[in-house]
Amino acid sequence: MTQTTMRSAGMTSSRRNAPPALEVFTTLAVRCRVAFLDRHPGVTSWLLVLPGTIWMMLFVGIPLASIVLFSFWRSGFAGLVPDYNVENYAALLGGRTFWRITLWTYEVVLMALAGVIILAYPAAYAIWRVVRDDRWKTAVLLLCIVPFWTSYLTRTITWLPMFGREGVVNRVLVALGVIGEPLEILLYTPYSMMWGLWSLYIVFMIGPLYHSMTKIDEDVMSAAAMLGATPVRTFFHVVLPLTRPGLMAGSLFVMVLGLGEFFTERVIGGAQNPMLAGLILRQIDIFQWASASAIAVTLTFLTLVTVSAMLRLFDLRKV
Amino acid sequence: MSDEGTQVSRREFVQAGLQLGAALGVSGLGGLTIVGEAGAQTKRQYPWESLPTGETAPPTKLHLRTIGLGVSVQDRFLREFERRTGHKATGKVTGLTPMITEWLAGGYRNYDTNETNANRNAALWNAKLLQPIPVEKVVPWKAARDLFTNPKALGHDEVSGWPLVEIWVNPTTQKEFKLVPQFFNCDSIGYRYDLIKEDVTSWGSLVDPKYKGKVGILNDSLLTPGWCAGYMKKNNLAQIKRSDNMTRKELDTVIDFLIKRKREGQFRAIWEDYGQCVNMLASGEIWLADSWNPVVEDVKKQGVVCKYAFPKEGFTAWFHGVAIAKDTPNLQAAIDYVNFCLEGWWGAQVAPQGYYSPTTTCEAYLKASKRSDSQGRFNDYEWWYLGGESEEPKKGWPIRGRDTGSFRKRWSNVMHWMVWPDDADYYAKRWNDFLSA
Repeated sequence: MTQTTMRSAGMTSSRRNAPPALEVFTTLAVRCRVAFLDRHPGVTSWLLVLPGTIWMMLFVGIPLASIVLFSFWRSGFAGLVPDYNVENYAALLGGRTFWRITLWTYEVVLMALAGVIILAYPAAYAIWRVVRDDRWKTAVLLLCIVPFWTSYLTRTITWLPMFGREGVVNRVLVALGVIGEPLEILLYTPYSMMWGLWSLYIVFMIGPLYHSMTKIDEDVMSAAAMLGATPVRTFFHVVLPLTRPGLMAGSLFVMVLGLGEFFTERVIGGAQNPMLAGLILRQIDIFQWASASAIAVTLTFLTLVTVSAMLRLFDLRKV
Repeated sequence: MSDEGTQVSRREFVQAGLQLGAALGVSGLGGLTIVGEAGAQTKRQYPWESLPTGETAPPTKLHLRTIGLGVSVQDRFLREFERRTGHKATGKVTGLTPMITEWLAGGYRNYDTNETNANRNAALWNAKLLQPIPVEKVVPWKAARDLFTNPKALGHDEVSGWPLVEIWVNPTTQKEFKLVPQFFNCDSIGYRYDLIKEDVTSWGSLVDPKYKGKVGILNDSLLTPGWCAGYMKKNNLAQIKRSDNMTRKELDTVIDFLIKRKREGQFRAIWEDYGQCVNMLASGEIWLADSWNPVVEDVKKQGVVCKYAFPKEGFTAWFHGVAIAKDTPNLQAAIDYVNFCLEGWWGAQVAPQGYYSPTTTCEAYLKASKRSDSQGRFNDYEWWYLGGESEEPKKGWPIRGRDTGSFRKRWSNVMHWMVWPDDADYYAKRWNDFLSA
């Protein structure tokens, strides 16, 4: 290619992409920016977190601050009245009902957590150790996740035809002669609520546990076996300690989701034992926005305390 | 009239129109349908009046945006409104509290009308989000039932002043509406006659140990204590002055009574929404519940033997209405919508759900239809308003006609209207005590 042709080709390319002046300006700007960021490395970090911070401020910080503010106002029939007082908190914290419901909420969440751990450990362990083929591992993991492609509401309501008086379980048990009359304990009881919660939350435990298990070095497992440890001993002395990060991550998910739970209690728990989040809705139903805000703030505070306590037990950054 | 309601045969249409005009004797509606058998020409005085099948009004630039419950904001209603008026119509279906909350939070600007329960409408009126509607703009109101105009009418509560106090800016002069009544009814007990094997005649059945573990009650801090108070008052179980608006002491008595029953295992479940109550009754999870008329009708449609009780203590009454947003840019469409809801067709559509229309204009449509009676002996007016085979509440099973008898029977047996109590906050507090007990 001759020099003239090359110059001509270069000019064509330059015209096609950007005017030379703009190209020069862009290059200079990039160099200046790089030089600036080199001299002030802290700024890069700030710039990186800026979009997320703005987003969180707009859609989490401001609404949360508003709810805190409203919790000190008064509910009028035609809206909130900015009449600052602490009566909402005094009425809430001074009554036995709130503490009874709070205690019940923690009871439910802890029972849900215990059940989920007991169910999820064997499942995750089986996927990790028993299923050897990677394709099958993926398939089984997918099976665990597939129900979560449907909405939370659908998954909860599904229990009604399963456990109702005329539901699948009762019909099968009656047909097999195991029971004479349909069992009513299967629906609209605290037990039925628990089964619902386990099914809803189990995937949040299986995932982190399985992830933790896959990080265990195969040599460690071999060493345990060579030293004569039975599978049970290996599980309790090797697998369990090494999967603590997954356990903690899963527990955090379950605790946070459980503390905000209201729908399962309403739909399959028979709505006879409200939890804290449900209490908020019941206040809103009769326009008591201020006291609903006070409950929401208290629930947020309790959740933060719970999460902080869990994080003090284990540093999640190790996961 | 077909199931869709909009597909009216020519003969039925002519008959309905003429009956309507004659029934009303109203000049404004007299010319509703001037339709010859051969020619399909319609002279309408107002855009919301009926239009023969196949005809569609030319489109206008107005757009009706409404919000309400699924029972009143239905696609088939909005499409018929569009067809008749040419106004575009869109609706949002939501719950009673969310719709009020949305409006109070500034969302009223997105709507022209609000279709809500009268006991919550004061929240919008007091917040000055609504505009008064001159009575002369609502033409079918000339055929209003006296329950909504006369303080001496059957069913009117002289103590609370309901329903008049929530309808009118000034109940005495009755010149402007705060809320135009759209449909109304009263609540009672839905029960599975096949399982209970007797007729329920008292609210007390819901707290009767005989039905322990078989009862469902509504999760509502106002309504449930309300019927319980009425039951206790009428049976001299407590000193209660007003069961619709209790003092703290009276409410304490009622809630403590309910808590005692709950701890004894009386209640199988606490239902929260319409569909849930239908499912619970239809599946036999519960045998009886404080219920709504359409719930029972829906359970019946599933082939289940379910009845609606005529309680000796009386029914709990309510009405829904249409209110118009204060700054609506589609005022004429909103006015037309209010008229459309009262013209008769709309009222006839909701009658098979168990609801009553505040104007008698629906009668012509109902008299032209026999959908509710499989044997074709009674027309829909006779079935839903006159009670079918007798004016009396129906005993046993099967029944032919309305469970609770005629309109007159039902409205002569009202316990109270569902007003918003003075101390709703305390109702909520004590209801939470009940729930967590």
